[in-house]
Amino acid sequence: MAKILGIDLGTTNSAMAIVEGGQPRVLENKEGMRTTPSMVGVGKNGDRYVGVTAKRQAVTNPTNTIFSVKRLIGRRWSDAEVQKDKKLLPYEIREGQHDDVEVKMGEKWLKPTEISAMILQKLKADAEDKLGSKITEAIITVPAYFDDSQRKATKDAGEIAGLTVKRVINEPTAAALAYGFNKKKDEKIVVYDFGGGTFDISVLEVSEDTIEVKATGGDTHLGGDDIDQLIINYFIEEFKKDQGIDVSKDRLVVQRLKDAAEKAKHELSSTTQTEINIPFLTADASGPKHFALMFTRAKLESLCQPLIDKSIELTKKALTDAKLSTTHINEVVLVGGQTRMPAIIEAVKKLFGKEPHKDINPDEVVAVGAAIQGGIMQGDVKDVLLLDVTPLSLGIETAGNVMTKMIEKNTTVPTAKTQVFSTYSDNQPSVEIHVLQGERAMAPDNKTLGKFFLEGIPPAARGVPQIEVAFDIDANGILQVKAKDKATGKEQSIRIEGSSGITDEEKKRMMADAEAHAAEDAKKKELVETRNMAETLTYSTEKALKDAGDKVSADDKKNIEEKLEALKKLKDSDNLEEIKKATEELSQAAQKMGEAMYKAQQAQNPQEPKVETEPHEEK
Amino acid sequence: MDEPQISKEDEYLNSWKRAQADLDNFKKDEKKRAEEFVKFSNETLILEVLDVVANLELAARHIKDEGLKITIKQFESLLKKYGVERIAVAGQKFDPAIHEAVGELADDKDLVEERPGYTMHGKVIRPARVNTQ
Repeated sequence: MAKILGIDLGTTNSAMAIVEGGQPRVLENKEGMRTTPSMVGVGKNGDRYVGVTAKRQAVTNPTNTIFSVKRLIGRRWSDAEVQKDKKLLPYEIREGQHDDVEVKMGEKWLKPTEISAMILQKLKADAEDKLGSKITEAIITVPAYFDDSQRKATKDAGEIAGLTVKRVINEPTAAALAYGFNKKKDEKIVVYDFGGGTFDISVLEVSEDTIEVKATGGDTHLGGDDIDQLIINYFIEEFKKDQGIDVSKDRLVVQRLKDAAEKAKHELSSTTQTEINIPFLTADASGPKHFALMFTRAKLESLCQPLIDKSIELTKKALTDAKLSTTHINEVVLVGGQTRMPAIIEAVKKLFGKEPHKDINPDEVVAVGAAIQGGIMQGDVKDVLLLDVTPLSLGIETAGNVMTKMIEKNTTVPTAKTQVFSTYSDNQPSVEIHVLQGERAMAPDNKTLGKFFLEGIPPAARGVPQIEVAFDIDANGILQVKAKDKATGKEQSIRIEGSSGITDEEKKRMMADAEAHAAEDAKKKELVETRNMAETLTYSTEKALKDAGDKVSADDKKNIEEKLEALKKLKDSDNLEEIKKATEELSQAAQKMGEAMYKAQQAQNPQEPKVETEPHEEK
Repeated sequence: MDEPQISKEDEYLNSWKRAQADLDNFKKDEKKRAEEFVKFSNETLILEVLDVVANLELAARHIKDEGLKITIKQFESLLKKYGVERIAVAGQKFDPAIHEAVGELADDKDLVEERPGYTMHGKVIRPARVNTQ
């Protein structure tokens, strides 16, 4: 089944995603980037460039490089917006025959729709390249304030690019979909979208099957680029103060300052200060001049506070338009790369008194939502097979009351796991399989699901028998535990129904318990494991001494026996450090028995206390 | 009904096959992604190092010092070792796939490198900033 491509056709950048296996996945373009500049250019030789290549040739080819065409698509020539943008755009635009807009690129006059189609065409081709299959259908997003004409023009752009546009949806709606808010009946959602070049605020209301736009607002010329410019200006000022040189007219210097500004802005989202170092920025008669500055988050915030305040004012205005107050809002979603800035997150949080949603990459959330819309229409998302997970870990009790996990919590069922265990003492005739559920390290702290014995194990030294324990949870959550002696083929099993049927409260309590006791449990477990180690070592040393007979010198033998006695006395105490020390001493003394002896003994008696060997999964 | 009836068994069998195939494909994709990840895991670090190298080169233009030259050479061979190659500029025709114009380029003049560009295992990780004098 061909995938429906979700496309966020942005003013500055575009992104695309699909639904795969019920999960959205953002697709990288041919250049390996997850967003594509919404730019198209025609070179002097007639070559067409789309995306980052268009951006790279923009400076040398400004009149034939078209960007921000989204500001013009589907608009009338007489629109105030168009007249305003006309003054700001470096490329030529003119009035078309039907009071529409035409853009000059190369020798041709084109409709904005055709330019957008070129961007969509690249996205389509790159997606096909990435997926290795044809894409014919798409969902494209538009701002909530787009009118019918703008929506129609966007849809046309898709069709020109060879896509069947299944639906044109609102960007804020897509963002809400990405967070799964379409299921939240009667909720009111605010989407705060601070992009590269535009700021959009939308108030949504989710009803039975629709997401309705209650109000929109924003500023079509407020974005992250403005913040970059403020930082660059600040750098220029600082350099002037420091060196007395005005570099604002030097394009190459400004370019280096711009690189540093963007980098610093990103860094200050996670750190509170960053060092700007730009050696050899420029030079005068006295020699080269360097730019070094300690740039703090506080300074950055003070620079862009007016812009943040403006966005908050616009948000309040949109709420008033929707006849709502901040207390009516159930969810707040952040969109746009600029919302990574801690000061913006804080300002939004303060306004609404709740934590805004920002888990999904704000540059990609709209494309993800568009892909999900495609998935819903295709049935990929709606009809996903609901697979359960085990809410808590499952395992068995092993030597020293340790809970050995067989199936970790959050494992998707149905699943099966097999592991081989052994006996703990010589000639042990049976093993007890104690099935446990929980996260605690020690068996008694977990919930017992069932117990059984596997009897009739032929006499053998400890660690020799191989007992295969298999856990199997079927799709209905029924757990089957089976133990089998590999030597005799004897087996025993238990069936536990509704192993995951513990109540939510129980689950929460058990998980909280585990967390609270994690440190204490780890200590207990370490003690048990150390004791087990000591136990195994005393056992194997005794055996080795016997085997070695007079091959060991009397001195060595005496030394080993002393250490052995010391460890025996200590091994059941609670003193972890002492046991460790005595074990270490015995181990060192025992090594003197000679490497040959040691090796021979090793081969017969594996030292692992729990004697687990070769755990492996079974399908 | 005209449409052929699909039995529940077939439907389940198909869903199961599809799930198995999805898993299989996912594993293959994951493997590829893991390989890519390993290949490019150094990319962020390399990009930071490239800034330093670019500054060292600027320094070398002002300070004629053999030690500095050797240090830059050392960086170059280190980068090469990790699959990082410098993008050629001199004598080349402007190509936005690898070059980024920082000024208006005159057709009849040679490209001048304003900031070195690099590829990593063939992928452009930083375009060469170019201009004409």
